[in-house]
Amino acid sequence: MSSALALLFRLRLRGYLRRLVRGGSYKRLVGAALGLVMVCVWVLPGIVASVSGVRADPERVRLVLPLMLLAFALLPLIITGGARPIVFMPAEVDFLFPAPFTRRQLLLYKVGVSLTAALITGFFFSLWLLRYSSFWLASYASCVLMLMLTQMLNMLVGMLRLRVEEGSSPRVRRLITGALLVAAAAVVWTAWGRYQASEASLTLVSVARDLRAIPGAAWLLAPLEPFARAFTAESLPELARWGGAALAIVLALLLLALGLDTNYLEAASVQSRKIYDNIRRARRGQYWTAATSARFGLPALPWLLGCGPFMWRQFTGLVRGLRGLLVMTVVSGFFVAMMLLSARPEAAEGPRAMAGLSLAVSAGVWLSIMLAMSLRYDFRGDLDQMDWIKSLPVPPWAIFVGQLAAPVLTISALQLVILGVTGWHVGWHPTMCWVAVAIPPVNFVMLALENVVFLLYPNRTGQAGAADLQHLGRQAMLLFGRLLVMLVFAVGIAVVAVPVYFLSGRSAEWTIAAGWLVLCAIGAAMVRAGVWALRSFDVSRDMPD
Amino acid sequence: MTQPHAPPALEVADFHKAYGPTVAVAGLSFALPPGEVLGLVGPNGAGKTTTMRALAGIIPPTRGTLRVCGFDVAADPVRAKGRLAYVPDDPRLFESLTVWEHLRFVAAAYRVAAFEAEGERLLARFELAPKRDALAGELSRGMRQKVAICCAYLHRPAAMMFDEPLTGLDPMGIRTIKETIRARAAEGVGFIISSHLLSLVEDLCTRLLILNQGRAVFHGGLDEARAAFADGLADASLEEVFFRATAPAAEPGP
Repeated sequence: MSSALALLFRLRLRGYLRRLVRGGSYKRLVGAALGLVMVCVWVLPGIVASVSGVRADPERVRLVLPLMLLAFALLPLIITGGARPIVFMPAEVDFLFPAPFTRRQLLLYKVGVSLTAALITGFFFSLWLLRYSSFWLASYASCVLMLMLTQMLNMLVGMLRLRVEEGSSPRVRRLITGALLVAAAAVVWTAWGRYQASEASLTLVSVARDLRAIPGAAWLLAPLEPFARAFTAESLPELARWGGAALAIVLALLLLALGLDTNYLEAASVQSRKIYDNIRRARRGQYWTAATSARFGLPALPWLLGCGPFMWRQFTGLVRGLRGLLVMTVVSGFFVAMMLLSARPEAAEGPRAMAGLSLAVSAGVWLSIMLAMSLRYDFRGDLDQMDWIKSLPVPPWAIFVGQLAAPVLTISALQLVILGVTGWHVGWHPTMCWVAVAIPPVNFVMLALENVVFLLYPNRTGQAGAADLQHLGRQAMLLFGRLLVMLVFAVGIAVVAVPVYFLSGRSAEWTIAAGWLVLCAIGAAMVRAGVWALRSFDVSRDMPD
Repeated sequence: MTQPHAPPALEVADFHKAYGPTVAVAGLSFALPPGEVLGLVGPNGAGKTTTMRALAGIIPPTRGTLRVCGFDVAADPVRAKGRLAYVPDDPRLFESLTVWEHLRFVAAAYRVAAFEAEGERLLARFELAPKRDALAGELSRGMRQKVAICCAYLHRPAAMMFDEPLTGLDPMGIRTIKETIRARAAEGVGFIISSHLLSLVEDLCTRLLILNQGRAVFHGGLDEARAAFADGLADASLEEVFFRATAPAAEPGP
């Protein structure tokens, strides 16, 4: 590596450490402590299981790990289409690309950065996965090697793609892509056929076993076996043997990438610009659902006491960001479908309608949590527009309600669709009607709470750096606070609903109606809280960096 | 001072850049002698930034040759880049590095042996001395621009390219950058200044290159531009020249 790049590497590492230990205020220390607690909670089960002798069967780990590693390595390639040979940060593009460095020097610098990140990240992964390994060193060394493998593979595929693009016509490129897709489809189809023919449930072990019987998939998994062997090594010599083999594979990939010496600067520069745009979108909290096209629009809504213009603006943004929302829904739907497929139909127990309702409620809760986080068409996505919003001649309560309308109504509509499909599919149950009535106010209260907390403690989504314990701790504290308030709300509803249940002669209808009224009262109180939080938001003081 | 037979600071010959069917720059040729200040102007999407990025070695040309002080950017990128400084529009800094650490890295990258005195002088000149140990992430837009300019000046390049250099600068910063450009040009440094601020171009530049839709519409002195597009009116503003040169009916010039 060039001495100047080595200097940059050292300076950045020092800057990173400076950032981790900066400041010493009470709030920061509490945040850091809570962040540390969260990390401990994450890795502790693995350590406890390992210390107490609970260990996964090494044979099963060896069977499954290459498949997991393949998925881990392929995922970024599938998402980016191999279009990110090496990811350079915007500052690196501006300072390093016009500077007198060779492409190989820059490549080695990035590998050095990746290795440092892998050495840090690998430590946490090694503790988390300790129960699957024989001893910590094997877990750590393998985790670092596996992380580097995914980096090198991603880099090499990206460079090969650039090479192919340089020397071939679009038709040839389409043919190659088509051939790869056909090969992948053939493997999936064969594996699916084997699953259908077998009596076993669809589990990772069964998939890993089936794939090894398919030639194409077996070849893909073979180079990953040394990583699994190193991870499950029983002794140091065994670790040295398999770890050495895994290291050789990583180094071979690096040498191939260096040998190709593809002109990646333009592609990396374009990708850097995209990353920069994504970071800016993420800072607005709209990474997945940012508007991608102005093709769709909505007619203006009526005034609606001042809520109308805000609703129109948020709904327009939401409609234009539907592509990201659809991708997210499809990806999530895939995982739900996999969960359903993994359980055989005859395993279902109890009345069909109630089982369906449970499923619908689970899906609805999951949808609420996920969409409430990602559908930021409310104050959370408007942080940079707060001064403008506050200057508008509209009553604060109307601003608050109008800002929240888009996510509340969207999430509610999706949940009602799930409920409707469930009812149609498994039969109607009277409770479904009550659930349907409760959906909009529940969503409103949840999102109102989310926004009130945000207005009181604003933060940007992409604000935290890697291993930023202070940010992690702050987020944990806010999450805990939100859960606590939700618990108070639930207790408030129960305090009214339970007496009504007994006074009405155990009537479910009266009980639910009373609960619903309390819920609506809480919603109204949240509007008051929202108005107060909006008034309290001082753009000169509360805007995070 | 300019050497008698020094190669052009920057030289572009038959430069083409295409992205699939979209042509960003088509057949651009020009040479920038040492000590000249070339104003690169044109509407949005004319190919100004593409040309500068290709000269900086960030993007490869689809066809053509680009040279910095006689060194081919494609064949000998390290030597070519070593003689060039490029300050992009909205330069992005390393957030976790201080202002001084940026200078330190640039000095190492361009092998500037004793950079400290020059670094301190540049920081003082651009009123960044009080921010010497501040993190880049804590700086305002204008200060970040000044840091990037200081980094560009540090290794005393033979050719410099600025993309919208005045963005975010305060009046004192604007005056300083103008003075430094004039001073360095007098020492023989060739400049390309791309800007939509035509008053800046008129104020600083000795030559003008007008691009429109990826093609050179005009390349020459400011008076030649007035002669070609403003009926030779000596007091015609550059704005007038620009609008006439980039009007739909304007034909490509020399």
